[in-house]
Amino acid sequence: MRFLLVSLLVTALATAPAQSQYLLVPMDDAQTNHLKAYGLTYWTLQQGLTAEWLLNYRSGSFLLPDRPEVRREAALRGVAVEPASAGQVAEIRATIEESNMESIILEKAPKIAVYTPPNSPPWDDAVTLALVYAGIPYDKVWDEEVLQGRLREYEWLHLHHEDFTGQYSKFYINYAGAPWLQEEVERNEAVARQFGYPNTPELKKAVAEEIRRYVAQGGFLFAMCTATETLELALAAVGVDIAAPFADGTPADPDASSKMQWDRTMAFEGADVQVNPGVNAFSDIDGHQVNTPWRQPLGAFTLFEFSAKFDPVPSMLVQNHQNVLSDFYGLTTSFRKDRLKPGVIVLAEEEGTGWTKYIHGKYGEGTWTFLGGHDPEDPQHQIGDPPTDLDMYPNSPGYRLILNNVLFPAAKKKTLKT
Amino acid sequence: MTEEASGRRRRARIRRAAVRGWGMALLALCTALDGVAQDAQGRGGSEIRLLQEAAALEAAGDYAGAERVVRAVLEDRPTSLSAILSLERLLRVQGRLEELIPALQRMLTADQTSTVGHQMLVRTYSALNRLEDMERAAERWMRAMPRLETPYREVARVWQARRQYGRAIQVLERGRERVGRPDALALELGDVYVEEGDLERAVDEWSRAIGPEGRGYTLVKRRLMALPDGGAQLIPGLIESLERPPASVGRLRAATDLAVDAGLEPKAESLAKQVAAQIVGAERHIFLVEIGRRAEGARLPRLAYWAYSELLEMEAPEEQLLTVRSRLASLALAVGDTARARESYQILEKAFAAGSPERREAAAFRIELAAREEGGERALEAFESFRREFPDAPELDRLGAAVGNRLLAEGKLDEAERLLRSVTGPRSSMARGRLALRKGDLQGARSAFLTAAQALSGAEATETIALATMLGRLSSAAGEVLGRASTELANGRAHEAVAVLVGGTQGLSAGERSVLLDHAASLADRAGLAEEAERIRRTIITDYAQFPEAPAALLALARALAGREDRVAEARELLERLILDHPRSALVPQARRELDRLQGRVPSS
Repeated sequence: MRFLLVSLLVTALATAPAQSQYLLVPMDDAQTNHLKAYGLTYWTLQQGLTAEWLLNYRSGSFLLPDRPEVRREAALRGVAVEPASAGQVAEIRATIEESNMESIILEKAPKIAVYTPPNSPPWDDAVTLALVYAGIPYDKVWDEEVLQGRLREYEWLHLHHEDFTGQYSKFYINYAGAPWLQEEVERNEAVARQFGYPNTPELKKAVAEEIRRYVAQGGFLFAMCTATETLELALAAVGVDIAAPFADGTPADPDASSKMQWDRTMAFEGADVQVNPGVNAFSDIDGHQVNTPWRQPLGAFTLFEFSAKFDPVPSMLVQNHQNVLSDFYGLTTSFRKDRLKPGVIVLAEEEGTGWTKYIHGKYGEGTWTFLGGHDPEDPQHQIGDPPTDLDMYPNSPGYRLILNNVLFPAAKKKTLKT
Repeated sequence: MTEEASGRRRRARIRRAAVRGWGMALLALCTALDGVAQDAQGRGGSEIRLLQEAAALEAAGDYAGAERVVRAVLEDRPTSLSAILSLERLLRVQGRLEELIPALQRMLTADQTSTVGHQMLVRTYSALNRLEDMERAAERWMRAMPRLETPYREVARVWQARRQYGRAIQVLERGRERVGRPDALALELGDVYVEEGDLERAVDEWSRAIGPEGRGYTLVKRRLMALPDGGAQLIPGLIESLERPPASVGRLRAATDLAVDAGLEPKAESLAKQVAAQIVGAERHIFLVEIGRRAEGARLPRLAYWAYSELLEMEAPEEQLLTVRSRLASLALAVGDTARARESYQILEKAFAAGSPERREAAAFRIELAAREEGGERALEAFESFRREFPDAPELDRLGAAVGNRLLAEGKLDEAERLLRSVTGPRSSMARGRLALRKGDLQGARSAFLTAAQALSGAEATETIALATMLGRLSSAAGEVLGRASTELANGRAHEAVAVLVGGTQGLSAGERSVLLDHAASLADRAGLAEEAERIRRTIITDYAQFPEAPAALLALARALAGREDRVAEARELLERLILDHPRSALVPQARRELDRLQGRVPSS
């Protein structure tokens, strides 16, 4: 039925004798492919055109100029669009004016970097999966590029399941001797040697520091899964050994927790570092602790609503057609509330528990956003699972959260600074 | 929930998980303990108790306690295998694997020939990435047991896992030299060469591993099957190597087996003939039965046909020969030897008792062959004779349809009609539909096809319904063309059926031509006529772009082109054309998915 409606709509567009002034990309249940709608908007910006993000209007719709090439792209991508005349747009603006809604101008396709080892396929990482599916281009950067200061070339940086404590996600507990793990160890140690660091944990601390500097100088950081927790641990562990012997040849400092410098981090403070090498967790920041005997079950998380006019940034990050989403595991799944720094904005939490799922904050001139979990459509993700095929989930509300982050740096700077 | 209750539930959960997790370990431990008990004689009882205690502590998550107990056992008896294995597990879980090394060294001091001890030491150094130590440990092991293959195999595996193939090969070659057998470690050398991509050397090694009498074949076959391509790249070379003179029967048999598995029918037949020429009696009989059976399974009808023909020449009880002849008859049909098939069916018919089901089946096949080979008139006579002998035979429908189709192909519509009026069933109903088409009776054809569809199943029913539906868009003249094509198809002539549809459309409307061409493309697909299908679809999308068949033609053509590297851009263009020019088509979502695949936006698998 939905397909029929869209077909009719697209046909109506294709055969429309005259063009309207705008194309509304609805983001409520009328949208057939929410994920590619972000790609269409990004593509429009790439063409040098501007777009508007109508926060809270029909679940965060986009307003694009009505051009033949935009219609063509929409049809090819299967994105539902509705022609809107000047009069209709005036009505939309009036509605926005009177409600908890806002129109945000998107004016530049942000240049995106994804921190990932060379040669890794896009299917390893939910963000690259989403970017590739939506048709949004990105560059890969890894330790070398970060340490050479090349992050400043990008407006947006994504980190996924990297372990910035340098312990290779503690995979050696279950995968010691596995060729892929050995390869990862060798690759990291080679870079450490190249840049004069004694071991991988020290290398990763330096990389984390560069990332912190990037955010402080105005970059947008979006991190998921382990990268969230371990980035912060690496930043706080100045002069403290928090890595297991496997990673650096020496045991972790048993008093590491008391020596952490939380004033250097962006999101968390006061966490206990997990120094036991046999426990597959990094600290007590994660509420779920998926690979430990005290693992917590998955529930659902609720997105908060913000004032679109006064808090446009958090509003952008939570635009969605569903506000209660199923949870999904990652090596870091959630963030304990009592480990958050004051001033951190909670975007989503699991009600009745002590943990949050999605958080955001400003740091220096830039911002950071952390989303727990590995893959919104693969809740129990295991190593070796087949890659997620987003054609099966074109309306995924979880993946929408990721793509909100991608477009957020496209918003006019003036808006973001308010 | 109170904190205490929550704690209790958590502890219970941990215990349950631990019990599940360690159940298998305990089982293995108990087995090992039997050996311990025998070895340690008097001390056995207390050692078993201690190890059981350690296992219980480990299951409860008290690693430190378990480790203390295990270490106490090793203190008393450093060579206890069960204890050292437990310690290894405990230290690994705690990330302190390095501490295992002193225990292993004590064990090896007490027993220099402990294979497990040496092996664990090498593996531990490897897991800790201490490669120089690993090499030293391996060297010590090799010195202690120079003629044992295991140390070389173990060390080579470590280098292989690290993709240091040169070092792996060096170790294995050294092992071969020291073991003193030219085929020692050949399997492992083959493994390394395969992974390195040196297929020529891999073939040499695996050929060596198969051995002069073919005894190592099963192991090599297992490795071939485990390769991503099932060994497709290696098998031709391996066959060549195995049949190189002087080739024993064992090696030739191995080569035959490989050729059958790989579907290399002519090669398999030539090899099987060489084997059959060198063996006699029961061995030859068993070989031929095996080859016939496997060839049928691998869909190599010529090889199976040869094997059964050979069997027929051998002495055997009459009952067995009849079974062989029965297989031979149907294979003769598959390989196109209709004379042999007819002869076989005649013999079978005579051999079985009058009125028996076997005789009836053989007669039915013979008549079907007659319909194909001897023309409609004689087939009709044979059919009538069959019907007199078996008036209630279930084959009547199939046979009536076969003879009717033959008569239709010969243009004998009245004879066909008389015959088809006297039989019932889905096959004859299909033939009645064809007859109706030939006579311009579209309504009658539609009704006959729909009646047939009710008794058919699966794809056949779907195709029949599609055929009936298609008639709604055709005139009588177009129906006549379709009827002729359908008759050709029913007589096993797919190419001719396609030709009728493509060439016989003059005078028809453009819409009808589009329908018939679309049908022709589908028939060409099913008959494996890829070029013909592509040509027809290009005609549809160029000359009949405004008709409903165009989207399906665009999609099918795009899919066909997407598989060719140099045509991907064209495939993409066709898919875009489908989406943009036919937005209402039900195929648009599929086109978008194909487009996503071509652009690498979704995983290809």
